Amino acid sequence: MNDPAVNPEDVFQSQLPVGTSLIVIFVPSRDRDGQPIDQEYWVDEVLTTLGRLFRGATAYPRGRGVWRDDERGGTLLQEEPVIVFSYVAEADLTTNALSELYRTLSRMGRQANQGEIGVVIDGKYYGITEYVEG
Amino acid sequence: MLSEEQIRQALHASRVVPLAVARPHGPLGLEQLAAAVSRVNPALGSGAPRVRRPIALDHETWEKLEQLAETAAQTTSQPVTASQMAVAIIEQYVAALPQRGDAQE
Repeated sequence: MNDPAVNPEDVFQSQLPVGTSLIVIFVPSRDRDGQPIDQEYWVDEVLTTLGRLFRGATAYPRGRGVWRDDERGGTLLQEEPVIVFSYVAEADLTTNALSELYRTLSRMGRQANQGEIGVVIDGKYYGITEYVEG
Repeated sequence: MLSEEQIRQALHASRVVPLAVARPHGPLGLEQLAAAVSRVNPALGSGAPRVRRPIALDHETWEKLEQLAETAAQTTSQPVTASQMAVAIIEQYVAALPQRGDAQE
């Protein structure tokens, strides 16, 4: 093993385009009362929206979790969120695209009875608690 | 490139919190990101399993916790409850105590 070290990104030509942003959305499995929601439906909705706006997205199911809702008397709730992520070209990350993404997330927040919808864009967490009708 | 404020407005986000994990790679990176998010919003990440036990506090202590929570909420621009303050104080205090094995050495 005396071969010189190689950079896998050079070999596979896999470097991301310059200016690519990473959007990550957490799709919950339960509502704030602990009732299961139709998670598969919402994962599909988020994937479809991200695919349409940004050309592609991937869903990554995670292990089981638990959380405590202090606003509901500290009840422990089991949570199994799915992470959906998309690499977005800089030119595609527009206010119009994000406004459209917001409409889907707002619908999820309202219909799935969520306290807050979380979106991470380039290392910053955006907490959405305002859900519009529609 | 959109600014943080432009993104916040487009998403109607009520708060923006910088995370320690800026650019996660692969499943482990996403798990790391999820852990960071769970500290910001416990409803969205697994975090460590927690237990719930009722404890009794006197009124004066509770009022101080509420004042601390109010101050913390103003500082961090995030909603903070007196319960969360109590949890943070107890966990930080207990974490700083030496382990039982350490004390015997």
